[in-house]
Amino acid sequence: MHPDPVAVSLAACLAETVGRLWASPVRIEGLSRFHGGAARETWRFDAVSASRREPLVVRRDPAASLIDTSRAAEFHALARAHAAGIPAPEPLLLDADGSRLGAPGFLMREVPGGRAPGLFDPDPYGATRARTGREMFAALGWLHALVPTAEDQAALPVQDAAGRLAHWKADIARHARQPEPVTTAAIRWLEAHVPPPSGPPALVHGDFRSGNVLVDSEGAVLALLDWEMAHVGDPMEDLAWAMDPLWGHGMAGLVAATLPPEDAIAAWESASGRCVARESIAWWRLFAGVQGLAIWIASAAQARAGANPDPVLAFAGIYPYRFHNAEVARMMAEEAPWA
Amino acid sequence: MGLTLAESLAALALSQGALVAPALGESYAGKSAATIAALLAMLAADAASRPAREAAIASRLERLLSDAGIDCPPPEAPDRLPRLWAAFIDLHAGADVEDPALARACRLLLRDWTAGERLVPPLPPPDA
Repeated sequence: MHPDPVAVSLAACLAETVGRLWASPVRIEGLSRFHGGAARETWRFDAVSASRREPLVVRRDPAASLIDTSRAAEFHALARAHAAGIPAPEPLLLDADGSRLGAPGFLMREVPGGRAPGLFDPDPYGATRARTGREMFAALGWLHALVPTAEDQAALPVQDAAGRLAHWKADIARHARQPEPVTTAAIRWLEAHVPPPSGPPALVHGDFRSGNVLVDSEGAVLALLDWEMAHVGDPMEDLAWAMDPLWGHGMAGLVAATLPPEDAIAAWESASGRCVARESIAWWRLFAGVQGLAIWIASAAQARAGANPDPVLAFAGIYPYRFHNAEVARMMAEEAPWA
Repeated sequence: MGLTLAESLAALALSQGALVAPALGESYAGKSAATIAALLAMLAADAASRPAREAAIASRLERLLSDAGIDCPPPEAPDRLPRLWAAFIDLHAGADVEDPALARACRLLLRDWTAGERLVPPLPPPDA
């Protein structure tokens, strides 16, 4: 097979970058790209010197991506979570301008021995699903228990419910190329019913779902991945996203294929010290659907533009787009407070 | 007669899933190939029913808009469906403010239309 020029170039960047970090010559072995995240390129590799071998991960911007976010912000969120003892990869080096890694990105230590389920994986956790669910929602609760510092607010977007809705509404306006009757109607209702904050602002992961949780064969949560959408905001956003049926692996009555909703909420409340704002759950559930639609509409725009050949972009613009279009329309036709 | 669009997509899905993806294994390229196979399979099923679904929703939109006294683009208009949707969006926005029964009818239309647009994920490959 012909060598991948992207991989060859990246390996050279990594050898130099890690070599400087370690102050010794380094060679790169086992460089391979993770599949599924068209928003960023994520590669694992072994960095090898005369005295050490370490499994590392590099995450950097591709030519075009799903979501316009900052690697520096992502690195900050990851470092903050890791330092606070939340299961997350250890961040090692930020290259904010891309001068070392070929594109803005960062290095982190690989978390071995785990797996995050694919979207279509049926019953991904099996007999250990309850343990995974308790640990997953406890980890999320620990994140939400942290008090955002001045450094957090300087490094991350600060967006309450109205701010997040405005962000996604603008994104949709930028990327939509056809009438979006479901999204338009949902945003209209959301704008008219923005809830008060559920509590003090929290560090919000922004993409907390089964596919971003690394789990071992015993059901233990090893790491929360993909912090690129992290921000300071309302933790209800993370709960609603995690509970969205798109990430439920088709298992009715369970959240993220793990626990019944009340058990997941209980694990989160115990760990976070917060209470779920039950009066605003409907708003955040609908918001989660609109957020999804915004991401999938942006993905469709990038697939259409053709700068990034990753088929995940086209996939996102087709399958989850139609899923969330149907889910949002169903909620608004069948459930209170809309129906 | 050659293959229809739906048949073409189904055939390509089979080739991609049976030949290309397995050859590339669990690599990034292999998983990308599997993603393409899954997409082709879903689009094949979608293509088979698309003309009927588009005709049905266009007809339902036209009835709703006509009942509300809104002129609809002629059947031969090339961008008829997007124009019908644009008119529907405006109708729905107004109904949300002043006509609960019409607003409910709009929501039911959206529910029924999007339910028919949903794609069925491909079955996971059988264990070897």
